[in-house]
Amino acid sequence: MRFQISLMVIFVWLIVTTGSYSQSVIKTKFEQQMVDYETDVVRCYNELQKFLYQDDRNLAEMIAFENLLSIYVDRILEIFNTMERLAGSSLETYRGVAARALIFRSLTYLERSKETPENFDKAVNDYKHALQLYKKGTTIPIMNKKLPYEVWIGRKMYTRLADLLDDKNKDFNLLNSLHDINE
Amino acid sequence: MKKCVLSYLIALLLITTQIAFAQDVRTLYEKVRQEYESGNFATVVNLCRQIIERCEQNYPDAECRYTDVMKNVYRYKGFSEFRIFSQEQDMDQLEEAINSLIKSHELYGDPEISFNYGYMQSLRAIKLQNGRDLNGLVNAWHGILGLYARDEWQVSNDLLNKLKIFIQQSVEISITPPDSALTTGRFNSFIIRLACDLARRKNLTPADSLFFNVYYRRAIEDEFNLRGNEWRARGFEAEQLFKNDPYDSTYRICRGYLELALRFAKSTQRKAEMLKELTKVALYMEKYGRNSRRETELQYAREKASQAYTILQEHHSDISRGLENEIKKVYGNAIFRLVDYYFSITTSKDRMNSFYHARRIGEEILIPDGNGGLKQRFKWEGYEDLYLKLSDVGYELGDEKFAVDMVDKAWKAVLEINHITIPQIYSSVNPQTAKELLQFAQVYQQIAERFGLQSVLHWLRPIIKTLSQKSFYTNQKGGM
Repeated sequence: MRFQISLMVIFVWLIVTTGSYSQSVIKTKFEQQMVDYETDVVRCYNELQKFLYQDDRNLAEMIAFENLLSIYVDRILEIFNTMERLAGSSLETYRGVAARALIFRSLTYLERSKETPENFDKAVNDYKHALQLYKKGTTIPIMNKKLPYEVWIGRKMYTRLADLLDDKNKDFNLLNSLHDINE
Repeated sequence: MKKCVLSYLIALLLITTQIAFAQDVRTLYEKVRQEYESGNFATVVNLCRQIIERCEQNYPDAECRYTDVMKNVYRYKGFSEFRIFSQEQDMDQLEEAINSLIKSHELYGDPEISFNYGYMQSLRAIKLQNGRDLNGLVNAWHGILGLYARDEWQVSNDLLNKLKIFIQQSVEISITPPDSALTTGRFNSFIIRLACDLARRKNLTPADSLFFNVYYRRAIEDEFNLRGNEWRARGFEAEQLFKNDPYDSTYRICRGYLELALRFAKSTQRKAEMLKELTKVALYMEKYGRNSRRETELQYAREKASQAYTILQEHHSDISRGLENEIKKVYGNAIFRLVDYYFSITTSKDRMNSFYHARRIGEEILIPDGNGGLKQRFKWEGYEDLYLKLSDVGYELGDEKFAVDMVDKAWKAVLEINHITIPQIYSSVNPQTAKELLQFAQVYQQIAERFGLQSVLHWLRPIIKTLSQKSFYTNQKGGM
């Protein structure tokens, strides 16, 4: 009888540990993908900036860059939402990834806000979403936190999103004021 | 009687229509699947339309509410319309196919479908020569990322094939239309880099590795100039075909591609390279081409080489040493061949005019040497031959100063190239070199005799004698 009980305990323990192990494997994979996709978001944003800096504004290409970046941001948010549902643990790092991706998309939308006024709404929504995401239990605001990578615009390097935003034109400053309201 | 027949026909029509409408969606759907497997694509499209019409009625069948059924109805319809398009090349069918697949994707969000309608949109852009339409690429990429996620972020063989198709389409769009740049090509270049990076996450076979490496390189070379790089690659490929088959048609294609590569080149190095290549191709056509117009090709070669040389002078630091030497070589060669062409038109009514023409061409690359004579602006492989040819021209024109100056430069050049001095001619010159030097010495002698240069003849005679003996020895050896 004792033997049977021990076997049962081992069996239950195995199920629990295997389950948690596979869950952690999935989580690691998700985390890795989020980081990979964020790298692509930044690559895409940097490329768009180079394009704006060097060539004439070509609307078709700007839209294509915007859509491409949007695809990556959607994927990041999708993974983040899944992770949030899966894990009860702290997701601060990945919340940061999602928030940064949203801000990059918001900045990308603003590049074309003159030609397409509805882009401004999209930018504001993404920006708000990012701030709400990151507000949960963090001390330094996402805009002022040091980026884990460099962003290049022309020959200037940025390591904080706030600096990036400050250097943009009045549409971007509007976003900045929104940031103040949220604070 | 007539009334009777008419009412009979109407009744028959009504019954047939009723039977047709009596078919429920489930039956029609089964038929769609069967017909699709049998390859009856027109029937599939017709049946799918019937299903869609039935589902749009006030009281649709239950199947109309099943996403799984309806996404497949649109999928079958889209793929069948695409098959019909492939056979008939009717753009309306392609448009229908795209719309059907978009509808299917809206219902379910299958990444495979997203890739497929993205592919079709890009195909439409290529067919309609609308290089500005980049939506297809974005949608196809959306599909690719979805498939990658679905395969648990592993690159499967199927995905690898899709990436290849995607890259080829991106390249095609970047050069669509070829006669005007509607985009900068930067987006296409970027997305190809993304695609190559994704493919490289898999252990690739050597052939696949080569494919992705080649396209990655094309996407980054010449300041990420995919369009220019593609025309360059096509130009080089066409050049090989032209060399194997030097007809006017292959020449035109090759030159066309290289000219496009030149037009879209971004860096000075690339511009100079393309001009050099155009010169080479024209020179090849002049020499080996069937029914070539010699003078036209040579003049074209001379013009392109001259442009390349101007770039070289203005942006010397941007151009590699290897390319610099090649530019000088083709420029010198173009001038030499053109001088030779005008020099050799012996059937011309006005021979003297031809000689003057030859001299004017040659003078294009001559500058004062500081001693009252002229020298070539640069040294190139074969520059001694141009001096010799120009001395011939001077001889024919009776221009003593020019002829003597040129032949003297030719003689010194040939000695320099062979790393030989006059005393060495008597001792250590090998028979092959002796034969080469003899040719120059004889022209020198000819010119000296014509213009009565006794002092030149005095030192030239023993040299010619020695060279004749040594080269005679070569001929004998060769004969044995």
